[in-house]
Amino acid sequence: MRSFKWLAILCVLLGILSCSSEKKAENDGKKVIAFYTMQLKPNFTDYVNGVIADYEEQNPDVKVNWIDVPFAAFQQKLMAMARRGETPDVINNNSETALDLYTMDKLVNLKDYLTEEDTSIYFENLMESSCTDKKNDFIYSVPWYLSNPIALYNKKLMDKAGITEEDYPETLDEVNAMSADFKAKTGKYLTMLPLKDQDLMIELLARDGAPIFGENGNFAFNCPAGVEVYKTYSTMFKNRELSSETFISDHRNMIEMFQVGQIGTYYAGAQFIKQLKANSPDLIENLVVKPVPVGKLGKVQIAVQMMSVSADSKYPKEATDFMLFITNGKNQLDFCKRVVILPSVKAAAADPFFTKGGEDVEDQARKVSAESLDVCAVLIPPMPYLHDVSLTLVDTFKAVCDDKMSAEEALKEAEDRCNQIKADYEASL
Amino acid sequence: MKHWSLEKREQVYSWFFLAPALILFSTFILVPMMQAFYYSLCKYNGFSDPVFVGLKNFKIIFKDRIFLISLLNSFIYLLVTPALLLISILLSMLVNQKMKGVNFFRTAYYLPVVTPVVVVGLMWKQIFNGDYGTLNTILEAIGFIDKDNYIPFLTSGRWSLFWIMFVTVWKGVGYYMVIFLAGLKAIPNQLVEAARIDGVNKWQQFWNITIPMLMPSIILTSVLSSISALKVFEEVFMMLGKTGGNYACTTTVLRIYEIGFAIGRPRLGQASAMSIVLFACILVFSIINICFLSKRGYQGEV
Repeated sequence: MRSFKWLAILCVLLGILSCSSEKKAENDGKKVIAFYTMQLKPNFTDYVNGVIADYEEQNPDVKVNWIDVPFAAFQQKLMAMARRGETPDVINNNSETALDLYTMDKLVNLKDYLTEEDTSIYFENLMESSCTDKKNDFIYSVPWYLSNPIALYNKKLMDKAGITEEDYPETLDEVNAMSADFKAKTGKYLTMLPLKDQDLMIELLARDGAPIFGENGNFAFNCPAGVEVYKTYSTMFKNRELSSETFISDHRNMIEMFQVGQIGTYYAGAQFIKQLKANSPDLIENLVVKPVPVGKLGKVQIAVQMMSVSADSKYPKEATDFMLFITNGKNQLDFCKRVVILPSVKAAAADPFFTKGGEDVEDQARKVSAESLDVCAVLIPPMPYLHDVSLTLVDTFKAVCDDKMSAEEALKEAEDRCNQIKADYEASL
Repeated sequence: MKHWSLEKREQVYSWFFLAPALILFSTFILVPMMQAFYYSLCKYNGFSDPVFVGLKNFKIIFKDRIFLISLLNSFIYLLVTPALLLISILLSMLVNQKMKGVNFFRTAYYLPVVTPVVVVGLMWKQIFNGDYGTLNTILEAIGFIDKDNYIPFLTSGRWSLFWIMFVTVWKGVGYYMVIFLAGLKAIPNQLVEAARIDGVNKWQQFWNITIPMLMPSIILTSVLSSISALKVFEEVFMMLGKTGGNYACTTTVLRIYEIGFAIGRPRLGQASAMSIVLFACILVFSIINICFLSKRGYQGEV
């Protein structure tokens, strides 16, 4: 018993010690740059290590130290590192963390290191919408890979509802119009709004053409198009054409619902097909891939992964160089061949690989995904207070669903509250 | 060491033995608590240095509609305490009987306590699901409701809080049952026998012997369970997410978490102020609890 106690104490002490003496890299005179990525292990370990090995071979004086963090811990860890002044040299950001770091002055202005030629290989609209702060003449990122949503349909359910493949919806209006009939015939839902992922509401507004910001820089979604969005979806909710779990479901719940055949269609990045293949082989048999239905604006939101260089970096030049290397056309194309994502480099996107299609759902998905690239845009302008704004929108939308407010009142209130959030934020700077 | 008096030596030794606990306690509890007091008076986002702003945070949070809702919800959540006490006393009396297989029941009632709350949350979320949940399916099978009228247990505004409270009771009852079981075992047999000879019935025995003798345990459990009720987080978070189903069922700790660790704009100052308010509530409530309950019944040591 006594020895057990001592053993326990020893374990605790060892635990504490091992936390503190973590990093001791043997850099033998090389320039070490830390490369921080979001959830690429274990699926892409070989790929990333391969790219790093290639780079180190070409640049023998540089050593790349790759740190991969699961999505859930990504932001928190990164912020903690930034706070300690230890922001990793090269960071794989999403638009949210990129903006967070930029507002904290933790990113270098890539203008100082990149030539026009360097940046011209990427899609211009991506460079502009999510990598550049025009006002301050500041480039804080370059785009890496993209994933745009595609629509997956459960053919069995669609057949049961009497919808043939030619008639699959192309617009959100069609989806909404079909949902009542679908519910009546199958007892399941056609679609779902996982509103626990709060950003969805602002996206729906944008997709139906309600402007997020107006001319004066304030929120401007309170317009007839916005009111229409609130009206349509709240009516669907009240008629039980949308799940009663809408407000407590997130994307993960939606995948689950789709996997077990509780919803007819599911919008997601094509990379989720891998997960479907593993979890529900039956479903893959009758899976149909189509472009995602567009709203009245005719555009869909695209998720952009980006790369930035930290202002804490000791070797910003080398870091930038490595960043250009990993995002170059060849390396992006290699990456895209392993999973259904799209490259941000124009030359790579033109590769016939993306348009060949085929029997396999993943190949079809890649084709659909690449073909619908021209309707993709960054619809939600980056803003550091997005989370609060999204919560406000969901909150007011809920009030309409509960008959506590009319759609007009709710949207008016939402706009006022969001402008207040913006003003509070600006005052706090 | 030789020249020290016995008293002094004892003192040194006691500090020596207390040191590990004291160090851990002050590093992980005392210092963070003091920091929370300080931050509650500061504008602080966790990144830049805190700036002293006086009581401004308290003014802000008492204007925050959602914080007030969350405070109200936390107090509503206190209803789990009487439910827990009542059910666990009854259960402990049931499993205190000498019969075959009683150990099975003791284990069974204790099982939810050792089940991780994440698992419990996911499981009950599935059971309460308003589209294809187990409970709705059963209710439909026995003809209580039809397919179009599935009950949205977790999405009916504040009422959903009661279903989550039910889960808390379900999960916690085994723990308190064990405490009461120990209390019951400690009741001396002579008391019961003497009362029998005096001719009391079962009810009188329960009310005049069992309850007063259990009072120390009751005080302990009611203080413990009301503290954890005011601090409830996991169940609501797991079943309704961090806004507690669009603020209908949000509780104070959820609100603290949401504000303090908000993506993009953490407001640790306000969150600290909220935690101070919650701390004050718990303190006052616990004092009331102990004073009120210890007036009644057996004056044993608590």
